[in-house]
Amino acid sequence: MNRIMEPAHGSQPTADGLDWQPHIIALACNWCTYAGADMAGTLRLAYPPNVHILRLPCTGQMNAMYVLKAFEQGADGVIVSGCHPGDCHYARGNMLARRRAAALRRLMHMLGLDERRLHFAWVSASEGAKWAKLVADVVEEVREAGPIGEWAASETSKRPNGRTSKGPVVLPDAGPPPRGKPSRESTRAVTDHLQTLARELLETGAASQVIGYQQSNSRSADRAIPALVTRPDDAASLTWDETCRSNLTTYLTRSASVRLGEATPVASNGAVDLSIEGKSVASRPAPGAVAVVVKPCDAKSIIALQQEGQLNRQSVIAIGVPCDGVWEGDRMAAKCYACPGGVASLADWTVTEKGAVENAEGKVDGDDRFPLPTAPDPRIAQVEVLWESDAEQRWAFWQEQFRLCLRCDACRATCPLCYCESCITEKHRPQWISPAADSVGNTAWNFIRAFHLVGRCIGCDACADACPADIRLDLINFALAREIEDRFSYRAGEDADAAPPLATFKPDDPQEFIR
Amino acid sequence: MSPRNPRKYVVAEPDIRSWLDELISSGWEVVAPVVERGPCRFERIESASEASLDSSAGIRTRWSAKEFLLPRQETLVEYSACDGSVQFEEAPLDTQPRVLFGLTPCDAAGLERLAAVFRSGPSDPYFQARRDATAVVTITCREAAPECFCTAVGGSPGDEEGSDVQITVIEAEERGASAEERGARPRHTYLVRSLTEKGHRLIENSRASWTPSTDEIEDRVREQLQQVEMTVDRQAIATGSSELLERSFDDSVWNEVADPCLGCRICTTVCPSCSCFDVYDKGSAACGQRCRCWDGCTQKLFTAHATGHNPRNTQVSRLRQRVLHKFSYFPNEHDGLSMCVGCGRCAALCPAGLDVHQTVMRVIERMQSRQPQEGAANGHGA
Repeated sequence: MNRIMEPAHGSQPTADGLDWQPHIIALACNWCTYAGADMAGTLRLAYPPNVHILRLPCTGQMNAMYVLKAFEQGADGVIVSGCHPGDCHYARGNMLARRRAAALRRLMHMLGLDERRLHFAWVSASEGAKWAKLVADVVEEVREAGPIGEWAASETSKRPNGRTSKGPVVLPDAGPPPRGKPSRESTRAVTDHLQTLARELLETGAASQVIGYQQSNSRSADRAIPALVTRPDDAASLTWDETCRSNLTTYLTRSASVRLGEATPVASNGAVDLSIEGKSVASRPAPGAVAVVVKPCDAKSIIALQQEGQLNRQSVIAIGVPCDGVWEGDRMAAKCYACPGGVASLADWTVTEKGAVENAEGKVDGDDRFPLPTAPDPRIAQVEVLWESDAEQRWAFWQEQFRLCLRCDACRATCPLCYCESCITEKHRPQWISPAADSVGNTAWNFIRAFHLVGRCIGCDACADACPADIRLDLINFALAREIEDRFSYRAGEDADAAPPLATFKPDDPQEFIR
Repeated sequence: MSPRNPRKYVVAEPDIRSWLDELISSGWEVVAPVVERGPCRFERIESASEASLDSSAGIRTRWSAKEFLLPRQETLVEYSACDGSVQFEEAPLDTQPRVLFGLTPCDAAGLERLAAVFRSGPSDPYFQARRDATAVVTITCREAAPECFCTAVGGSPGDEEGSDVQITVIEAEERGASAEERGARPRHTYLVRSLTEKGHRLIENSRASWTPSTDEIEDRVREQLQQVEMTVDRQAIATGSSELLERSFDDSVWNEVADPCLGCRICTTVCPSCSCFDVYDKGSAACGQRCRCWDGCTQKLFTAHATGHNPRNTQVSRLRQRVLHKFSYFPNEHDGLSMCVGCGRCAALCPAGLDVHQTVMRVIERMQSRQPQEGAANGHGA
């Protein structure tokens, strides 16, 4: 049911497994590979009939969603094929696709989809023979990988036990944290200076809003909650301590005065000009800048948002606070192990125990607590265990987590880089991602969420922190960030002028996986 | 479903587990809190040993058990087109006998609210079939979490609404013992009371080996529950508040209270009484299914029209909808009954730190300050 192929020659193996034929979807570029496949026909070359070609204008249009959808609907393998480097009819589509494909393969691999199912090739219009051989080779590899199986097999009412023929993946525990919690005196002193600064910013009108943290005594969760302060008197509610785990910069793109493209033009008298074709219809006082309390990790999202043209940096006042690491109960957050702490260097105001200083770039005289001792990020070892397990084990590991996903979208809401006005999961003509919190919908959502953050995620772990199902979203993001760093020597959130890694290319990018 | 001849027994923990195993082997599907490999949550169990029976604070699952009455996803109709005609086949109703074990009293009340929604208007056969086949076993609370506010909306830690069987841990005399000491002590004993005909049937085969309880034990348990009730430390939301809240619709207070809302639906998905669903199709021109799945009013797609128009076009209007539905629209149609049962899950998990009880109290207070005369008439305090 619900497959693009008829069950009769779909991927259902018979009892003896002999009649099963792999189904391959080929995403072929119109100019090279499609013509190349045509050439194979003209040359009367025989190749297995298992491939269905979907013609794209360019491999640059290869969308992770297309690949995912093919697998979701029963394809056992996917080929993406287009023009050789240098031959792209849109100049660089295939080069961008090469980077995207590299990331997509690694994500697929991490989530336990057998890499033998996804193939890339350069096939020109004259390479009919190469196309025929490619299809024959891929069919054999996919045959070895076997049928994709019923993606939606696990009923929600049944609980898989994570067991596979090789046993479940067991992740190593995080070792002892490299340091303890900050002292109460320290956080109290910072809180005092922070409150004074916030009050001043609001009183002088330098900021129209201060986004900070406040304590909540009405929840059992050991976590400070956001405080959106606009009245100077309310600055007294602000706080700073090790429970300030969330990343408040997610509020920035929700602010009309901060988000680029939505900023209203300001007239010479300082009033917001709401004129239509020069005819003023209304005016109100100009909204001031928005001040936001940031840890060093959160600050990276300001850079990433700037880099992606989403944020008017002039409208943001970054208040850097000295971070010793954040904690959930007696567990230090994984992201803090390798971080030496301190104040974000991009801070417009640096607040420490000693006071609040403007334009201090994260350093205040007399405050020499940092850098703090570090330890390797515990996720390095965890990701290694996952990479070393086999695909079946990884699939079981992630499916067990994804099946608990409620599709509440808290991961998206808390992510500072999930700023799209309309998310892929909300697009329903066609429905790319099933809205249901079932295995099809949950796998698709978690897959695409991760892919849309490849090379962009700055590692604040707000998503994993918010997840009610405790899905290790941070581990997926972390694993992919390492792959991007290894391959493209790029770390997200460090340089506002750098091109995002999947939006650029180098002519000599590695392509060991492309035939 | 008022209690008729409740049957009361004192049962040791191993006997509770044998009872569950008995139910499983006699064909009941048993759903119970599970803590292995994930957060504490309700799962169908194959053996009583998988169930998390209790902790010092009582059992708190991350989300409610509503998915066993209103699944996250279910097929309503299957269709197939061949030879120029279309065949429809309704999905069979789920009549599997099912025990929801280990719910808190507020969870059970939440399922009652859910039932009230699905009862109103044309009856929902999918929900009703599950509901009829389901028995609910609650375990009363031993401690209130900071976000708990059942008493503010008419419930209590020992509330019997929606329970077929209710279980209470009989606390050892010395309440001051530390969690560690309590953990080290031999297993608990429980007061098991079956409250309905369904409940009687549930314990029918196992109760022979249980000890009938005594008045003394019941008195002690009642006293215990009263103590827990006193620790639920939230101001009551008066039954008359629903009209006041309805008048707040256009008030600017909503801009303030809803400001931090990030527009996810963590609150609606974990909620025991949020009932909204989306209907969607999957399949091709040849065959497929019409299904329904959870949806939530706090997200913008919920009310988006095909034209692109969205009547609830701001996050403020969406959050207001959820709060007013729980505390105004539903009570107005159900004799003042609050749709919210005060489990506090939404408040505990909201990444923006919104606490629905505080939100409601703020709106009520603002409205009272605007209309001092009516405010006095609608004063809160139970």
